[in-house]
Amino acid sequence: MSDRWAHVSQSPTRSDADQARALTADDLFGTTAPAASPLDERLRQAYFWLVNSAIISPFYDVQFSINGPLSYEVGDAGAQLQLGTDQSYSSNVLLPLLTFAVGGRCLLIGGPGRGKTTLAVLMGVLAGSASEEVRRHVVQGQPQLTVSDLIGTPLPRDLIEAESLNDVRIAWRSWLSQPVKIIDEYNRIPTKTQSALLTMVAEGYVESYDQSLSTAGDSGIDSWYFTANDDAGGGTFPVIQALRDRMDVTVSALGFNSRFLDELISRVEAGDRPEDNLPSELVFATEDRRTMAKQIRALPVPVAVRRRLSYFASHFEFAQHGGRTFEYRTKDTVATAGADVGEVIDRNSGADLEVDPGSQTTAGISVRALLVLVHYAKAMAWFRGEPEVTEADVAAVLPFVLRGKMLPNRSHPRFDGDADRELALDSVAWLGDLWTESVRQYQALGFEQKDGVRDLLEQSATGLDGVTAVETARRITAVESMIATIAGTGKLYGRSYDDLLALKYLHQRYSSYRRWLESSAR
Amino acid sequence: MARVVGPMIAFPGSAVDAADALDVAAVGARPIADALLESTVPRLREWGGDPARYRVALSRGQHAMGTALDLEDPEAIRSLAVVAGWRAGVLDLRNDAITRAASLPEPVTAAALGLAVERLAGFLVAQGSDPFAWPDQEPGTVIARIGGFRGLGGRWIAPPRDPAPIGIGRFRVICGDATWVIRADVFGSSIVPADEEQATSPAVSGGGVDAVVTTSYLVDLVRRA
Repeated sequence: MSDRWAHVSQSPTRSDADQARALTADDLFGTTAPAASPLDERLRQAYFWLVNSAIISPFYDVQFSINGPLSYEVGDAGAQLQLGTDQSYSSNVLLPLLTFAVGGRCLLIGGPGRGKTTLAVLMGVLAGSASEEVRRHVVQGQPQLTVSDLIGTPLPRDLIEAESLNDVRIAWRSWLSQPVKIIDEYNRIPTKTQSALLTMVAEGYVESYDQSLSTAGDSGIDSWYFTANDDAGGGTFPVIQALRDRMDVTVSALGFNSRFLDELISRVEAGDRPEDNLPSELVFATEDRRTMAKQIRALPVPVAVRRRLSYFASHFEFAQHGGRTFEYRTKDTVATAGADVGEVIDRNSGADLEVDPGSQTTAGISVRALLVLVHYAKAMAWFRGEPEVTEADVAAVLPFVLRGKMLPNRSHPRFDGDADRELALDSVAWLGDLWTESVRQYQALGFEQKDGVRDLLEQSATGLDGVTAVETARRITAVESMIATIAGTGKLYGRSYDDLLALKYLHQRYSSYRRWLESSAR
Repeated sequence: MARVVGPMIAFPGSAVDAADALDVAAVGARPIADALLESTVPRLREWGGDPARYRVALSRGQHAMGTALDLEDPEAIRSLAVVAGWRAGVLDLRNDAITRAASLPEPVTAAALGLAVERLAGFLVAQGSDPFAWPDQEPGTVIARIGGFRGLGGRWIAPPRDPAPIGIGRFRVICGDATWVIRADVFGSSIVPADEEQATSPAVSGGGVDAVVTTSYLVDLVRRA
């Protein structure tokens, strides 16, 4: 391998440890076993190899800062260049790498020739597969792709001789057992075949003639990469919503910075490809991937971050005129009825659309999206070597997780004004802005210090053992009083909607318990 | 001795590498035929050494023997590898390399280090007290350029300032809000975050070498006049 590719960032890439230690021949020849780098350090080394040697991505759009970024106003059209003051990252490399770590699903979008497939192939090579093998197993989306092309066919002899479906063996396609699966141009796959793909992506197995095959392989961790030229779900065939929704993160393949042309010229001259030159120490074995996924899941989410996340999620489900029954006053009720969510939001006259983040979207955040958000926030914190998830980690991954799932309400006045018109096009900036605004409101409303609904829920969470009838009645009164307070505020917003339903849950619980106490006493 | 002259764009590196950098990059790209020696390359790379320079230093040392080193003398192979590793920039091999240099024939050690044989003894003696010693080093010579912008593979996200020596072969610099320690010798360097003591200890003599900032993200180690 040419040593042009061989530079691996020196450890520590983030650790604070001074590594001065006298080395001897025993260390050099391995008589003393060298300490293996921790897995998060190796993943960081992989990241730096990718951005410095493989993809050449001098972008830092996933920004972290200590005491705020440096900002420069550029030009006369309101453009701002921000410089992160802590280690920042390139989204088009970081998010696929985090997907590799957690065994997720990543959709790479962008025009042709921007390195989407190359990046996905590099993830396959990181998992230990040879580059030719990875490329051979890329599933190429095309209008004639059938379900059999995708998953395999029954063995002809078994079809003739079998007396039951169980006896028919399937020649499964070999790509199904790869640790990293790549589907190129998934929006060129016919709808029927997309449905077969959905089962694999959603459930982790594939089925044919009553035979099934797990796609997760030995490690139990399989990562999927899809590519498409646009994000709107269009293409030769529209992407079915259920499949689109299964994409954990959506990332744009960023363009090439012309100042780095020399490296491209060197590659043309040498005939080199990055996937053929991955340093061996960056490969992750099956056990490494399992351990990595386990460490990520174990990373704690502190209470302060949970509260901000909970507050953020509360904005988006509610639609005042979405239904009559309180529980059905939601955007989902409107959407499943085939009506226009934006129009229904507009009918909420008197509501301050400027301060209500919920009015900017046409859908709420699904449970699946929330699970993915928490998972990727953990992966982000683990990648950065943090002991727990921080607010900055959530902010970093949120736009990529919710992109394509939480869509803008284009009739919202925000997208008409000159100042924010581009947010209708730049969903990453828009989603990031929603989070920032939500956190600002959370702090401005003082919920950190005082949150009556939270106090009642925490009290309930301690259980009902030993709670007397008198105490139960007192708690029911407290719940009813809180409901009256919220109801008296006039206009209802998403955050209050979730609170009222939670209070209804408490009321129901205590009421049932009180009836039980009374019947036990007779 | 070749100087690390500043072109329009300066790169980190040691001056002693400048003269044959292109040859080393071309020749050192090929794996070593001996599997045992080639197996040491990943470790060397992890310690910050230059694999190409390592392979070339090993090759030069072997050729200086006239024939391949006797494989029945594994200790000689280990000694040559340690010397070559030090030459390739692994700072932490320095002590073992200087010790083992005495056990190898002078032409072998000199070839591995890239020195004329008659200069070797003086070099090893000088290295006992000065990790930057090198024959014919004039005052004002730039011995090494260290650092770099993190976005281009370096360590720092802010330009270094206020460089100060804190020991022989050790210098402290401040980049933004962070304080770093540079460890260096004539062949290599490493940069690590400073601990509390290093961040606040007073500056001491740098042993005849000063650290100066002449470009935006690099620190030059310069032989004092």
